[in-house]
Amino acid sequence: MPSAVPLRPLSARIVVGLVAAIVILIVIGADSYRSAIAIAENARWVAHTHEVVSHLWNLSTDIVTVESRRRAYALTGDDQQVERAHASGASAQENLQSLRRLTADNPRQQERLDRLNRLVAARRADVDASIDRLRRSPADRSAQADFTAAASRANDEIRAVIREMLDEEAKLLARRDADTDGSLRRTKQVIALGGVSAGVLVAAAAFLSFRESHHRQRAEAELRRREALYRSILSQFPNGAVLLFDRDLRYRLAEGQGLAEVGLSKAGLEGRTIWEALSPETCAAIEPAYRAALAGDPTSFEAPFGGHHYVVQVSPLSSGDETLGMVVTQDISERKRAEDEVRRLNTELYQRIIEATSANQELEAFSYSVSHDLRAPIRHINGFVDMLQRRAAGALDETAQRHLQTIARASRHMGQLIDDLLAFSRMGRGELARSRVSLDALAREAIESLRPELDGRSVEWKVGGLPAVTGDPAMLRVVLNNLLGNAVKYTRPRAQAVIQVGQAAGRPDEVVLFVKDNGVGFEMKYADKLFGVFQRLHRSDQFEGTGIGLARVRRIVHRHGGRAWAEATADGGATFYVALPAPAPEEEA
Amino acid sequence: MTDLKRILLAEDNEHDVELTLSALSEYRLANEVVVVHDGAEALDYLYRRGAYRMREEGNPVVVLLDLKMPKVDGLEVLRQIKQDDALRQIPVVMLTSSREENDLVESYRLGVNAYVVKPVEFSRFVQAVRELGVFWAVINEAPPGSVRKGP
Repeated sequence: MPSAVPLRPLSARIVVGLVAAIVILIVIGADSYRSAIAIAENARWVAHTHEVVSHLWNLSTDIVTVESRRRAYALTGDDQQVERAHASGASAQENLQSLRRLTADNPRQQERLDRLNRLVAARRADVDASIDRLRRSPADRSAQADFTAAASRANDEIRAVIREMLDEEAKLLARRDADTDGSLRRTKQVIALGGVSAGVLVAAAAFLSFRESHHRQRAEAELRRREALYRSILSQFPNGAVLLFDRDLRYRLAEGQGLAEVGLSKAGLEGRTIWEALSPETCAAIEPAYRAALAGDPTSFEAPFGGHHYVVQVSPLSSGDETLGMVVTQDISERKRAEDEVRRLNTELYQRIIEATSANQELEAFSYSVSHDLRAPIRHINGFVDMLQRRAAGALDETAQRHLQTIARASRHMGQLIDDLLAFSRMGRGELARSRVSLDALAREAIESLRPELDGRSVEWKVGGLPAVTGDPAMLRVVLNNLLGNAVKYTRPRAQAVIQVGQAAGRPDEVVLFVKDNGVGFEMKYADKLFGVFQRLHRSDQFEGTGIGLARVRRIVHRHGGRAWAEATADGGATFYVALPAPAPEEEA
Repeated sequence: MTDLKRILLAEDNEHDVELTLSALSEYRLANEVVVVHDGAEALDYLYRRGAYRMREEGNPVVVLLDLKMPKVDGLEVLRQIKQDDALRQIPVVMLTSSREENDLVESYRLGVNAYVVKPVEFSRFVQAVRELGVFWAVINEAPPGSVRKGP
């Protein structure tokens, strides 16, 4: 919008230059006018001088004519000559009068005229006297025909005065001409100098003006280029649009990739008000936000439009002296879809958790039921068998008593199985109470607790180099008690048992503990069964136990994020491995 | 006769009742046991209402409570005893099959005086019941208001 860009006023220098040029031209004009007046005046004076000269010459001619008529009369006696002489005398008198009038401003010429007047009058009087004499005595005509010396002198005097006057006029004329020439010269100089100055100033002003205009054009071109650039940038605005609107809610600008996606276009928006460009429902929805932005309050809202979902920000935008509104829209349909998906997954997850929780609760209820209701009858069997043995001891034969003992033993075993199963079940529930645990200390505690079983046996312990790990101390104690207990149990046939507990090489992120014995071992093909619940590889009359121990070990290790395995040969001893995650470096210190 | 004190046994299972009485009888404590078969009956006895409206005044010197009982369970009976100023001082022993952590925690939270898991093996059961009976009914000095049997 170039019209909206304020332009700099013409440079002050240009104005000063132009004013100076105008002043100079006025001065030139005034001077020329003055010169023209002076020239006209001079011309008048020249004409005046020429008139004076002309009258002087006429006067001179009249004087000569008067004399020559007198002489012609003297020679011929023709009266016509007398009339002519009188006419010339009158003409001389008229010329004198004209000269008096013409030289009224020149006292010197007046004084000369006075003299001339007198001389002419005298001359005329002489001529009249001579003519009278001739009339009276025509005989003397020939004598009087000659030009007398007196007349000649008088004429010379008259001519001298006329000469003086002519000289005076010539001098005056020369002086006036000189004045006029000086004035003309000065005027020429003024015109030349002023013209050049004015020309230079106008040229300078023209140059500055041209430069100004050039700059302006360049600035406008730059402005247009930038506007095109900004528009081009805005037209690339991804996933949305940028709109500018004015106080009439008329769009000034509409750009962005998102326009086309919802069926709008730059041409359909720019120059149109919202009511002209959009549906009434949309207008009703956006108008309050637009008005608020014009009042200075930015707003942001989410709204569906044309099958897409947008977040719309409407904010005030100060552009020079007017406030515009700017709308930035962003298509968040994808995000919305993702959010919906997340919500759906969350709901699903929540559902699963509820299901899992309910399954867990069922399991709890089951365990609870087992621990209460299953143990009670076993206790009763055991209790009543015992009472029966006391009461009927004497009445029963050996076989019957053995049967009762079997019933009692079986019920005890059943009780043990139930207790183990419950303990195993509990192992899988509840949080791990993680802390730093010294495996070395746990191993020594386990050995201590095994003392009663070592009575009468020769067991060599090799315990060393056990690391510390992060884990649940109570659970890890169960692991070591089980592994060391097994080692003690399955080395029972050995005269000299050797049990080794230490750290084995493993992956860098693991700490590997091993328990190696020289006991009865097992066949490797059964190694996987070893860690199953109630799985036993030996008859219970050889080695007591319910077969839950290693299942508990594996479950605890798994809950710690580790793994457990075993290597053995039948009758060649066994080695059990437990790998636990290595403690984080800061915990190592 | 010695100064014997009364024991209230709340136990719904007849076999357990018989075994418990058998164990107590070995120490001649069985005659002082009042047996009720659910929590509601136990509360009736303690508050002298219903079938026990006419019983003699005085609190038992110890209450042996099974945890799982019909109508009102052991934990509820325990809660009511410990909330009542008149009953609060009666020692209550949970005598139960359960090893459940939750029950144990809840019982102690409610103020139980002892929590005993009935062993499967009868000899150990006898031992446990005997020690309980002897401790609470003979050794322990009952709180004021408990029934004393005259000489």
